[in-house]
Amino acid sequence: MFSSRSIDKIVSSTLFLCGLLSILTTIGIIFALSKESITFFSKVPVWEFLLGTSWAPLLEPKSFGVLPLVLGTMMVVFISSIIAIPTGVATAIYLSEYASNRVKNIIRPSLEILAGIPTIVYGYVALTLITPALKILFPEIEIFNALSASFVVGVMILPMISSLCYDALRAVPRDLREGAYALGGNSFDVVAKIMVPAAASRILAAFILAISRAIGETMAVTLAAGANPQLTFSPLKSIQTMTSYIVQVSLGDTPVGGIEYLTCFAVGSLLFVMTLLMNSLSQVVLVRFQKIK
Amino acid sequence: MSGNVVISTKQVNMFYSGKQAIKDVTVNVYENLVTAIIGPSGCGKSTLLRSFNRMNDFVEGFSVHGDILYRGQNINAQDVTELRKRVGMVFQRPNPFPKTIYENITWGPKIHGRKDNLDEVVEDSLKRAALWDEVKDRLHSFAFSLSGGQQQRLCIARTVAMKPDVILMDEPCSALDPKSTTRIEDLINDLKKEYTIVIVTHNMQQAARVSDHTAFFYEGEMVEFGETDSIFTNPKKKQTEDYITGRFG
Ligand SMILES: Nc1ncnc2c1ncn2[C@@H]1O[C@H](COP(=O)(O)OP(=O)(O)O)[C@@H](O)[C@H]1O
Ligand SMILES: [Mg+2]
Repeated sequence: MFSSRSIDKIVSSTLFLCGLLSILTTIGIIFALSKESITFFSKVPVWEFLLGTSWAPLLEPKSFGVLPLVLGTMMVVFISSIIAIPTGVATAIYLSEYASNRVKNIIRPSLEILAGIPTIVYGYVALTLITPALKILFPEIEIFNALSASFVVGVMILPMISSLCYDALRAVPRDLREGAYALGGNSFDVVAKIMVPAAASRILAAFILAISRAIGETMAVTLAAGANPQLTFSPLKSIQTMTSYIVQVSLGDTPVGGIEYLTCFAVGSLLFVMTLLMNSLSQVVLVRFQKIK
Repeated sequence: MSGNVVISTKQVNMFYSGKQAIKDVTVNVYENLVTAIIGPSGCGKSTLLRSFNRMNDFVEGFSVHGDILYRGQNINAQDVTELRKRVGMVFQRPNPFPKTIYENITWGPKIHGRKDNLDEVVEDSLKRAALWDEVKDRLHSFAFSLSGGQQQRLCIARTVAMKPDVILMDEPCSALDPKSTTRIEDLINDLKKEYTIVIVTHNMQQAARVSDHTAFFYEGEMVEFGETDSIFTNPKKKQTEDYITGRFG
């Protein structure tokens, strides 16, 4: 019927169309974001948006300083990374060099379950379990607070970090690992001094992916951290992140085309640029790393 | 056959998840001699060699029945990192660490907390591995910048730096060109003055050139073991003769 050549052609053009689709989608997103953002920035100066310390587009008098949202996002990212990165790397090392097969068969599916739980459930857990527990330690903690949100975001990105780091360690050539053991290394020597350095670029990539995920995380922080954009460094207070602001506006009855509606696109653009910058940074770091190696 | 026995097995059987790979093998490795293990692909050469320093511990489902002794002591009764310090290994493909030449050699002594002068260890090991002259001006360049044959000699130097008693080599020249192969074979002749060497090879000329004793394996069994000269000139078993004259394998 079909010659293998024409099948080849069909497959390759289908794959090309799929690739084209993702490029077109990206262009479409950039277009939509920039169109509305340009309208927004024609009404609010860019510097007022980027450097302003008060965010109140829905209240009178309106103010459009995005820093409180950026700070709120950064706080969640920072605390959740501090929780998830060491735990995730340690889990990966344990699974790769220490765990028996039986233990592995318990831990790996459990991590997959953690990864599969809908994020709204995490938000609910933060609100009803973690915050009350934290209140015992910190009586002054607010009902909505950055700390409990960060905690569950940490748990959410943990499976991603541990499974990507585990894959990174597994991808280290078997020869290298055996060579290190053959010199009389113990598991710690081998994993800490040979395998982790050999897998460093992929481990770093795992961190960056996880951090991007934490920046973009929406439902859990919307539910647990509150909707109180304020410039604070205290994780015990209620805050608002960039994503949860977008949720708030999207769910409200903001009229299309109004300035409140346009803020969403400005915040979205900033989010987009931040992730883009981070990914570019990671590329630079990766290339550098490979050169050193 | 005489001399001190360094490694010996007594009727050992080895299995991968129940599938037998080594059958009832009793063999002795003698001090300061080179013992070659030959036989067709899949006959169990690597399996036996890797059991001498317990590298098969990493293989899921692997089991050994019977005793393997190193200097008279059961290897399972010894601390495995101590055993591997005494019984070093060079692999089929060169596997230097993604570090500098210098760091490749000092890695082993460092993790064992040795206090001797590392510069001297590096120089001495590289000289023993006949690599010093080629790399002495670039000790701090990356190990992957070396040629395949140089990398393999670096791996030998790395093993020598541990001051081992025995060096196990699993087809150490199979990834190398003829010139590098000759260099490694010359090196083996030098090394046996100080170390006991066990080498797996599927190259019979190599076995004949470098070894004092040869063990011929077929389908997990040791068919014949003896002085290399007599194995090659006067094999006692038909299977051995067929193999070394190239009738199979
Ligand atoms: N990791 C392993 N898992 C299962 N079977 C193995 C493994 N390694 C080797 N074997 C089997 O054991 C037998 C001997 O293999 P090996 O010792 O590698 O042979 P050789 O080194 O002589 O080529 C072969 O049948 C091989 O398929
Ligand atoms: Mg083999």
